Amino acid sequence: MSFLWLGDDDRRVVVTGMGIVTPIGENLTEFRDSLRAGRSGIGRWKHMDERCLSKVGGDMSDFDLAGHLERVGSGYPPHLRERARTVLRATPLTGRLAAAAALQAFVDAGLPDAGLEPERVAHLFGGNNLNMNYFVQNVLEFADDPDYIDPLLGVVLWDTDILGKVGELLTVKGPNYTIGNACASGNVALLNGLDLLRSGRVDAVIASAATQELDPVALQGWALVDALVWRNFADEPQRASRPWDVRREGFVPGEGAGAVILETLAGARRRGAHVYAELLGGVLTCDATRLPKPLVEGQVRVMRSALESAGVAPEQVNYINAHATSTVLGDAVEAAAIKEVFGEHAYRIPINATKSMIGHCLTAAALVEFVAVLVQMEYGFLHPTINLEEPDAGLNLDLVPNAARPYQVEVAVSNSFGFGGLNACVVVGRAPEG
Amino acid sequence: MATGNRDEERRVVVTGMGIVTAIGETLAEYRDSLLAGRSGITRWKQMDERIYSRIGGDLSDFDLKAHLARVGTGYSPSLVEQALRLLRATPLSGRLTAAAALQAFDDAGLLGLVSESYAERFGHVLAGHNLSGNYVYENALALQDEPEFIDPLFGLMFLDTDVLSVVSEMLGLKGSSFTVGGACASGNIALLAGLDLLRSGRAEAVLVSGAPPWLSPVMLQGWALIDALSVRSFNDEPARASRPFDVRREGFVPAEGAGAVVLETLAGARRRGARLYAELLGGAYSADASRLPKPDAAGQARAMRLALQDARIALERVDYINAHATSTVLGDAVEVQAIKQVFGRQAYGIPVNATKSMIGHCLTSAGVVEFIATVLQMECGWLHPTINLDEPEPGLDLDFVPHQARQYRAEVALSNAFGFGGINTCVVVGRQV
Repeated sequence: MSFLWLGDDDRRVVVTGMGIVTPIGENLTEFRDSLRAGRSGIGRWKHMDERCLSKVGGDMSDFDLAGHLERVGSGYPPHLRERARTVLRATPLTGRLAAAAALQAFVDAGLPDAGLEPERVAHLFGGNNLNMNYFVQNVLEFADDPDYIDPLLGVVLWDTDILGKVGELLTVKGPNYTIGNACASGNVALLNGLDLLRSGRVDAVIASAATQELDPVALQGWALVDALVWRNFADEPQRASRPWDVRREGFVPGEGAGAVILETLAGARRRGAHVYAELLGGVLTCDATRLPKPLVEGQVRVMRSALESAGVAPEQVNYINAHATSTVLGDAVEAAAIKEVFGEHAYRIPINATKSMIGHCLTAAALVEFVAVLVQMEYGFLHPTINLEEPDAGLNLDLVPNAARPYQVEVAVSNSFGFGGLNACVVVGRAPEG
Repeated sequence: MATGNRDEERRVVVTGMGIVTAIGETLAEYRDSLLAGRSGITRWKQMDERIYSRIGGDLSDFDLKAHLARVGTGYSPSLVEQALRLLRATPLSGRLTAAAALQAFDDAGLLGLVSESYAERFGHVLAGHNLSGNYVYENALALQDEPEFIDPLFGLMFLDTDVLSVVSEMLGLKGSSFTVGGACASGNIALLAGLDLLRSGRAEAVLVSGAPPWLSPVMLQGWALIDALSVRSFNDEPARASRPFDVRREGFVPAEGAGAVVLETLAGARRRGARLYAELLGGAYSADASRLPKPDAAGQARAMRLALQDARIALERVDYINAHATSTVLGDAVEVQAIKQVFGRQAYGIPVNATKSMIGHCLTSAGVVEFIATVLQMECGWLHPTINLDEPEPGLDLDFVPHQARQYRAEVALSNAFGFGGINTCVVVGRQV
């Protein structure tokens, strides 16, 4: 692939491990099969306050870490399985999901035996306002009696509790911080990881993200700003998330987590690691507006500069994983932005929406979808955009409706856009030859 | 590859600062209070009386309009109007942070000077997480009563990123923008992320803002229950509660306060003829691979050593340390031990002071607020005192600058920040550019 920017191998960054936990799959194989089959993970909320307007979502509230480890972690080193159970014992959902995904990626990359210096390993966690439901529950206990709150709340409530726990689980002694960028957080974790590796501060980066534990107050808040689905589809939850479809009416929140291991190409080669793909580049931008209102020009700017940073021409892109949250405005704006960036080529690029199946994993969405991109690249297919029964007029791109197709992804763009005009776009290419 | 390239596109300087704390809402007020050894700690003004915590640095009645009328005389009327409109319903953390950011922008001479292309190269890194604590608390109770009673804008404003976006909108910043979280080390992490944005060429200028969480009674109670706070001895003498290194210290004193700094490449700052306060020479992170809120001297020492290495500064050149020093029994002792591990005998010759003795612990913004204290001291040629250090604990025998400010020209300073969950950070500042 001669068009790629050929810097030295210490500055090229590759993906050597992946982990995923979603309602449609708790490891790469399950996730791949569900994506290919177009399976929806959306259901009625299992334990939510019934008075909330929101009724449907990707609900992982009964995620059982021990059961998960038993089922998908049989190949993990026993000491890590054991440590996961100990470290995560009293951890709210987000931390358990995050740790499960990060552990998977760590094992997938062969890092338990790689002999990396823990001081040269970073963990960047994409997300903000994470342990929300835990907080809300404790607020109610507190209202009753201030001494009734969880005795460990002073530690557990902070987003960074997840860093300490994943860090202890995987022995991370390098840079260790959370990154908040609303629904674009996962992509920003990837980009900060890219920069950390290129700066030489570290040898490996665990980039992970998990959805905030969904709580009734946030769900009600999003319903009141009319961002999420609540009018229709309460009785057909699997049809609720329908990007680009004429009947779409808002996003469907979903719980899930994703993680990847990033290394320099040189480092990955030195240790003979399997390389899934190359993170060619990416950019994040801000629209300077606090409103949850997507702007074509902001999305155009972020895609153009991401391609430029990756040294990739628009016509070399042959797949786009869209942000496509199933909101009326958002999906239309993104389609318009893609047309502006890619011109005639836009009509030749397949574009799909992972959220049609798993809903919107919010701060984790970008990382979960990055894993989806890599799984499709690795296994030579495109997953469908489900529920796309009648595309909205004007949204006339190749949106891979309803059926998977065999396809060789060469260079992919993965978009993510957050409330508050936060845009982030990453560009990924196939693993370098040799 | 150590990031020590010294060319002007990669050197990073401080060109503007802004501050809002209980002891000062401008740089001049803050500097004067620091040098005078003034405490900003009081009884909580409107806190749930049932909780153990009684005292802190309380800005809950911060009045943005009065603040802008007093310190924003140089801002254009349209900017003031826009700030008031944007921040009208914004929870406390956002109002404090925006006020500090406006000051920093004004101080850097950037108000009204940001062109579209410059704005796209202007990044924003916000230090902080779980900022909306008390706002979530109030709305959780409202929902319990009746789901329709919550703030109609809750879905937007509970997010930490709303603070980021509201500040970016107010100042028109369009470059790389994100929040970073590292508990009480968040401020330094934001400075380092800003440094790396500039070094990597992703930005030409970066606003680093430090936002404090809006303290909820639940969070305060949580910290009291793990014995992290001062709750026993000083409730009737709040100004004496934050006493780093003193034998009677008993925990940190939480505080609300925000800071903001403008970082630029030296080349960019020179091109536009900006005033240079100091150089951010470098810095580093380390982690202890532990979930416990238990400081570790080895991890802290490693952060300091790596920071000096990143800054390409020899140990002997460090002549001032702004300590993390939160006034906890264990934390202060471990930090002293770490400083001794790094500097050996030289440690006894370096003044080490604790800004938190006066303003308390601003938590996620502490790193930024103390970075500003560090730069101000370097600029004015004085060191502020560590107040309340009546009787240093045996073994804590460094030069803590007790009680009295001291005339001193610091050339190279370290500023430490350590967080729950074994997160250690250190930044290195040089006075002369």
